[in-house]
Amino acid sequence: MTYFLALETSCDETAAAVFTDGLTVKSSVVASQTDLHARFGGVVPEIASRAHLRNLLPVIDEAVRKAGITLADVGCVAVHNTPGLVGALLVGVTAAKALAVALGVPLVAVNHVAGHIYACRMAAGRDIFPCLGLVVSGGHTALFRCDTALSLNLLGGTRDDAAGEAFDKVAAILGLGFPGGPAVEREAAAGDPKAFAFPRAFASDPRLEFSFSGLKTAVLYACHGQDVRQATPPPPGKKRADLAASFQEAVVDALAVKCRQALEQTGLTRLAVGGGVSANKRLRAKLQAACDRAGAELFIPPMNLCTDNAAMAALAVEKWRVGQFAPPDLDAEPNFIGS
Amino acid sequence: MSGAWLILETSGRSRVGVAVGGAVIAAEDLPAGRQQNRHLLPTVERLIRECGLTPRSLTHIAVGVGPGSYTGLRVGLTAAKTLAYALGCSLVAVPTFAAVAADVPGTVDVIGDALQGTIYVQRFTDGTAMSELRIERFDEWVAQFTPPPLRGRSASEASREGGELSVAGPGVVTFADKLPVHVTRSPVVEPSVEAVFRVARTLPPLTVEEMMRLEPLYLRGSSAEEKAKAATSSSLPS
Repeated sequence: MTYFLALETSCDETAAAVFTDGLTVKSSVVASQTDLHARFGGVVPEIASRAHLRNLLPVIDEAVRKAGITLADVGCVAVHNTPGLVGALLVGVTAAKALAVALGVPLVAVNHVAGHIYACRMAAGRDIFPCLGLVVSGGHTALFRCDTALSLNLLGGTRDDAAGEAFDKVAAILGLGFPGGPAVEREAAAGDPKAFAFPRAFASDPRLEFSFSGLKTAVLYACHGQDVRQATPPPPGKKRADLAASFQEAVVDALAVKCRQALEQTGLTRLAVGGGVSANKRLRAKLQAACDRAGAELFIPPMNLCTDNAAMAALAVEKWRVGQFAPPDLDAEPNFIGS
Repeated sequence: MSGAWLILETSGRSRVGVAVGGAVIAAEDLPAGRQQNRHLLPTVERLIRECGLTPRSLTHIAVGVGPGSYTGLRVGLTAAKTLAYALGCSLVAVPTFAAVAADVPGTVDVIGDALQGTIYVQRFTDGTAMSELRIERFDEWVAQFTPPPLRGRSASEASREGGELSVAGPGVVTFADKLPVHVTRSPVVEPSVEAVFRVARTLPPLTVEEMMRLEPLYLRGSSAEEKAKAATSSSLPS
């Protein structure tokens, strides 16, 4: 049996995990930086990079101890090297390279977005490929055709904001705090999703793309009218809940429609969903309905595997099996380039 | 304190060295630019091998902790900390300006660009720190070099204390056009591997807890935090 030690530092979670080549997760430790970024209403790259450097060794140490092994037992090091914030990725990539040098073991580089989809395979405990992959988070909103765990072809993505980013910005407009996803969902529970007719970009268009910045502006105008210079968040009450519910419905509708179109266009019969926004209950219900209509099977991992973590880097096992090791001069690659 | 040392200094141009028996036996500067982050660990591995060592034979790691490039320092510190953690060897944190000053005799202000018209500055006499490392406005710091009778006290005090004040460090290059012509510029801009090693040997190794939490000498928060701080303090009643 081979133990893998995996690192994740692509955005604002510092994470390490230990798993085996049989895909058993022995430990998964995540140090969240949410508190550090909250007052800025979004992730500040320099703050994230600093926190990764402070947190990474304690997180690695805890993951190794919780797995009940020592570093000498580690047979392979894995790291998410793309996509993400470059300064944040560099901390994880450098640490992973140092571990591989110190321990004399191979290094495997994992695409973070592919990892999100692979989390569905881990949670399912069986093969889910080929499948349609939807990754929806604060940094990504994209659809992929995944013929195998290691082949990810981008079908389409967002032209502007990621869905999670739109949740954060609308939460700021409504004065609901950061992170926006859970805050908007809580507020929406008491609201009417049909109260405001917000736009669903490209809804009747076959192209598999998303756009959320117009929606965000529509919420702003619905909240304050056209004159937003003196904008202060609305007080708690029916209107705020209705705005939250109608916004959430518009995002969820756009995601569900595009998934259904993609299933029809590709003929794929499985949908695997990952990323922090997939924690949204309304999204889960709508995606289930879309899959039912398309005759497809839906895979969404439990919460701890949806948000950023290092256990989803178990995709490294697939690469390790076929000898796809990273070069010693592995770099952090901020932009998504496919896998 | 002999043993086998790995030396990393990444506050500006990245440098890697290996010392055995109290002397640096191999040193290499990485090509300038962003690619140096990528090549740091392969260079470390090769240099160790070329010295006939293995990573496991390292007893100490010395790392320059800045001030300097945030990204460069984070890469250097991540590498040094993780290697020390995984190899179980000692880690020594070397202030970069102390290593610059180690190669400059007499009294020297070591300066580096801290952006937006400010500098990192610290004074040393024969390698011994005479002031805290701090951030200062370049204009205010450079005023001490105003020629007599108008000149400020610091430069004249320095000359009374032990000869002429010189200036060293990466700021000498950054501010080459703004330093008065009569100021003595040291040729020591960035610290050599040898100087980092020499200073490291005078410092105690970090405890495990200190090693885990080691950060560069930033001296201030991220620009987002600094702006928020400025906004809060300006909104307070004076």
